Amino acid sequence: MKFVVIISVLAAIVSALISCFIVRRVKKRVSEMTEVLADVKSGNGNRRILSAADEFAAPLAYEINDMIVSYENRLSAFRQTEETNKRLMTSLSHDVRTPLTTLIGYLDAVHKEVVTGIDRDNYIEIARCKAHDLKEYIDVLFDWFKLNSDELSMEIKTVEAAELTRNMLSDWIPILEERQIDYNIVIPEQPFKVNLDTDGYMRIVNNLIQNVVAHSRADRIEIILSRKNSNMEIILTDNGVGIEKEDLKHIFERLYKCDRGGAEKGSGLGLSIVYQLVEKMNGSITVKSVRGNGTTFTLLFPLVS
Amino acid sequence: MDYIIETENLTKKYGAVISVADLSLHVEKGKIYGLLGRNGAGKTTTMKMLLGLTRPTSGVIRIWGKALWGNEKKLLPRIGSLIEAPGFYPNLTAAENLHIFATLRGVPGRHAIKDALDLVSLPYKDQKLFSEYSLGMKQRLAIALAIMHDPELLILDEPINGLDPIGIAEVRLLLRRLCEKGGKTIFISSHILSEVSLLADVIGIIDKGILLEEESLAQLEQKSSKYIHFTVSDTAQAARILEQSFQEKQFTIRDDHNIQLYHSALPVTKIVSVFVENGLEVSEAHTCEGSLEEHFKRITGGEGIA
Repeated sequence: MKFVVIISVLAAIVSALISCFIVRRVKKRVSEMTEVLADVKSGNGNRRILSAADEFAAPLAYEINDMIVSYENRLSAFRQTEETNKRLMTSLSHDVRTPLTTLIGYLDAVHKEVVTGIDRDNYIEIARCKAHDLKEYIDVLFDWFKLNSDELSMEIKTVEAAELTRNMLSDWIPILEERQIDYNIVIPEQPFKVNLDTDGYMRIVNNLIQNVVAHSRADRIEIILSRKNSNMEIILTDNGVGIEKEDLKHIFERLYKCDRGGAEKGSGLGLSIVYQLVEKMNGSITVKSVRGNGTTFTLLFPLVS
Repeated sequence: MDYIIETENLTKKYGAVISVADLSLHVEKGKIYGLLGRNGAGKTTTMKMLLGLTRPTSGVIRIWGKALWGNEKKLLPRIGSLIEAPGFYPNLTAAENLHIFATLRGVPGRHAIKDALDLVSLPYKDQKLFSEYSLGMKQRLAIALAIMHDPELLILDEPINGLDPIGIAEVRLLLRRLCEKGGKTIFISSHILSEVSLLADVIGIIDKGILLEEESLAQLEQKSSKYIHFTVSDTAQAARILEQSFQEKQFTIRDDHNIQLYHSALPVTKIVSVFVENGLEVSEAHTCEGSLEEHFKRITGGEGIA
């Protein structure tokens, strides 16, 4: 009898000790997790709760981590946009300041009568051109902001793209001839029915040709429209300076300019706009280039059957 | 500014030999910091001190604003590190090796081991033993171990050691992604200038245990790019003159008085004299030139970095 009592008392003490021990472990774990959560709450989304897979708190810890990661991913997308906008503002102020100040330089010279007669007329003409370039830059910028704030209303409807392209390209021919750029344009007679926003499509093609004219130093351009499987394919090739392999990966990114450090005209937004427009119309764009040997852009838009 | 890692006058002496002297590092959140120096410059010693593996002779290390000494147990689990060769079991596979560490240190999720191996392009279900791994694969596994617990801060000593060019590019991309998308802070060391300049946002240059310079890559590039800087009374006129008299169009106007001319082979004196002839006051004109390499050669006193 006495023996049984001793045993049960001992068992009670042992189990009390064990539960004390477990409670302390749980408490310690909970306080660790609370500490991590407080850190996350104060804005540190990179903090994680670490736990071995067989630990009692593991499922809870992993669940919380998953939640933190998914919120953090969304936040980081926001932060990246913010970062780009910040960079855009800085680069914008430089990109606007240099041409604008130069323009003022010419007008001031005219105003102070540093130049007279035909030189004076020349200066005014230069200033006028610079003002137009600046306006073009600001138009591009405006497009880009509209695209990125999703304010651009696209009117996607089924259009006949071959005729549309032919009409657009005919506007380019005098410009190409003036710049002494040889051209080869192939557009088949049969109709190509594609779902497009007409304005957006025109901007895509115009931007790509404008790039060739302004930056590639090419003396030959080839534009071929054809059917490829169930797509309309437009291949635009120039024989200009080409794009460095390292640059090629980034050219559709906003603000990416191949010619770094200088004051080359260009916003670094043109191809980013092209890319976003193409995507919005369910098309695709790819680029191939060899430094010194020209560049090829390939556009694909699904045909309406 | 809140720094993730901050050291004050960190010094380490081995007997009479001073390995690291008066080092004051500042690593910002969400940036990649590259510690650049030649072999024996004190890079590894610095990293060992940051990880609490060796005690500094004097000086303070603060990580997340807390002194490292006394808080190691709280701070170190939040860091992922790669320093020298980690102790992997040669008779186990990559996944088995990581499993041991996962049980010891804890991981943030059920699939942490597979995720880490995926990130460094090592197969998860592979019967290959660690002893059969090539040097490059061992290095990848070491990186996997460093990132397995999704740490906020990575301290990696020469992470690209032993990797082939494709592997180097992959690791570079991985680290950039961890930093840009994941918001991690990364502290790496290297003796290869070109590598650091491709990867890091901020570069600290250490030579003979002394931190010579700590600057953002953008600042360094500014310093090392080739241009002529003019401080003049009127940048608008300066710009007009550059275009009209010299047919130069590659310039950037910083403000009303500062203008920088790029890619020009013209002698500075010639430009200055034409500016003056046109009634401009020129208070400063200097040429900035040279590559990063030359810059480092200058600041290390002629010996260069790599």
